[in-house]
Amino acid sequence: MQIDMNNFFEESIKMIVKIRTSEEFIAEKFFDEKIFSFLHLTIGQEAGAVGVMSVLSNNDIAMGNHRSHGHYLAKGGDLPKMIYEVFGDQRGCCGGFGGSMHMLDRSVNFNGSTPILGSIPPLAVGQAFASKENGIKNVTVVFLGDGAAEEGVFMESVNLAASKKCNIIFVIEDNRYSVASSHSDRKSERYSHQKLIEGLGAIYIRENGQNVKKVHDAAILAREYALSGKPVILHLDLLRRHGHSGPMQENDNADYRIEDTLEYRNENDCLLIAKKEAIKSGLSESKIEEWISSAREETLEIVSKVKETIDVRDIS
Amino acid sequence: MSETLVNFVEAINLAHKAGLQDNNKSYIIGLGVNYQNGADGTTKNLSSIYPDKVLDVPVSEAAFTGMCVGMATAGLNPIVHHGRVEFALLAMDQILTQAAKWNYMFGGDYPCKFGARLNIGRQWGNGPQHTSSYNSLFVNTPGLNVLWPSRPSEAYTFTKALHHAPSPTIMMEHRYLFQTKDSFNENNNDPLVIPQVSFYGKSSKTIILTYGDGLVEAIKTKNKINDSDIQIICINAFVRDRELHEDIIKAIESCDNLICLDTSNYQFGLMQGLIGSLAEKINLKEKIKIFSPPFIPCATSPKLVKNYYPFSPDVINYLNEINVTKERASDYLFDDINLPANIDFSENVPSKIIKSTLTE
Repeated sequence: MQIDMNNFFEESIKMIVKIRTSEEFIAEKFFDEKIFSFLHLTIGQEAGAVGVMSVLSNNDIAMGNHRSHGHYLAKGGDLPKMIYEVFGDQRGCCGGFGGSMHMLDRSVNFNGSTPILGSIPPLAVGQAFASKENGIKNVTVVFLGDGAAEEGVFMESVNLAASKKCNIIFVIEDNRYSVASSHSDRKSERYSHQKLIEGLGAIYIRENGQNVKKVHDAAILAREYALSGKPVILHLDLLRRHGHSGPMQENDNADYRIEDTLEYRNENDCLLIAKKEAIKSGLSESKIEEWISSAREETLEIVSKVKETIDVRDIS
Repeated sequence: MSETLVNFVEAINLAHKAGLQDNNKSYIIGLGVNYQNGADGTTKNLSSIYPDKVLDVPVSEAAFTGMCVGMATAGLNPIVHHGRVEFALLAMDQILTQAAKWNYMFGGDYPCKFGARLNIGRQWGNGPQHTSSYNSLFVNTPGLNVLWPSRPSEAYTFTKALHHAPSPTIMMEHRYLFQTKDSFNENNNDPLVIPQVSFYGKSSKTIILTYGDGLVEAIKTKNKINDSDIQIICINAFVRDRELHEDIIKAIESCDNLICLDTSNYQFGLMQGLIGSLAEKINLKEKIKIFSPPFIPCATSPKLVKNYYPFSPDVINYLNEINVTKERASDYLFDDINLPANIDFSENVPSKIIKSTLTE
């Protein structure tokens, strides 16, 4: 959802809180309510979705992956329909057929998310190509993880987009891990995204994805390049608070995390950074806390009301 | 309008011309489809008429098939071409996991108008990695329509249908049929109405059940022996569910001899699936005979291929053994085995066609 720059910090902080609160609600209910939908939480790395979507017009298209609650909401997706979908209710955004890994709200051009690694980049190239053929002046943004960015089909998709001059931004959300495999487990020592991407004829931009303002600024640049027919790869470095899947927050005992301990993740939390940046810009801390509190309450009210209308055990 | 005699390749080419003209949202996308004689001649000269609709792409089967699926979900009608089914295996995520499930997994209001032409490479010299069909991959995947043209007129109808396909539709093209000829009218019938099953001849005590290029040997068999002694049932398509039409079941239930002519590996494939479906309803045990390749890949050397595919003389001699005919047939010679089928289907029109309609 495009953010008014006069209220950038207010709107972006509120959106981060909305995403986080709704996911925390889902996580809390996961076991007690028997939510039988595979779950991949975006808590901790919401700034990537919020910062990128903040520059998109309603006309722009976005697509996502298995971890797309944040992408969906930040594009303007309907919160109750997301909750219904995750709870397996027919009032969900996919009528319960998709579940958590399939977010969809075509009314705001969030045109789908698919979990198979590397599946979504070429699909997004197709949607971008269709826009071009239909004379629609927009960009298509597709989110993928750092694991999916290693798939051959991703590289193929970048080349295809470059050869067909598609208006597309591939956002790599690099949270350091493919499930629990670190970059050093998966890449040669000389692996270079930049060299690969630029060698394919696309623009490569890397940014700190925990800082929503920096993501916003990078996304503006990316969108300008993309509108000129040059595919862009926006590589965001993020921190995933939770494990790969499921509702549990990992603690320091997660043996695959070496540097990004829970303490480190808390210190570099994107909401905390957004607050600091907002204060640096002259906004008062109390005002920011007010926004956080109101966004949290508002979200909780919505999701709680939705939950009251759902009986997950009703399989009649 | 007078009937035109064309071969299989020309029929597809004509249908593409008509399809591109009728639907400005349709595209043909694949490796080399914009060559002057692209896609083995099936897209010949099309790019000079429609340079923005007949598109070459980087050598990246998964990506360009995925691009087509993406276009198909954005309201366009792309047809992706793969010169061998084996090439399409590189794109199976996009065909089986994305296109086939798209509308379902997103709640049923998000159609995927995806068409695909996959060539099955039965042809001299193609060898173990260019001759598979993998029919069962597609037939066993809900959400896909699967079409097997067995003659040029069907290739024309099916190709036109691909240009308007409202849901993911795969056309399995046997290259063995590319030189076969047929007479038919180019028409403006509803392109979404397609043949599902074709019957050749009146009901008979002996039935040959086949599909795709199996029709060639079935027709040769029928023409060699007393015509009325055999009925051919040729499966043309499976649309939506995989229920067998009741006329197939009735015909086979009342016959004495059921010859299954399968040019692909039979075991756990399309034909065995058909037989399994029939066996749920009727007793086949005493009357069924399977003619199919041995359960090994197809070799390259003509010496090794000679006993691979089922041929008409095998069927005729079997029918002689079971006293259906007094005819016997000599084994095929080198050219009969190794060169593409060269039959003219014009004189062999179906006695009955059961039709179906492609829908979302």
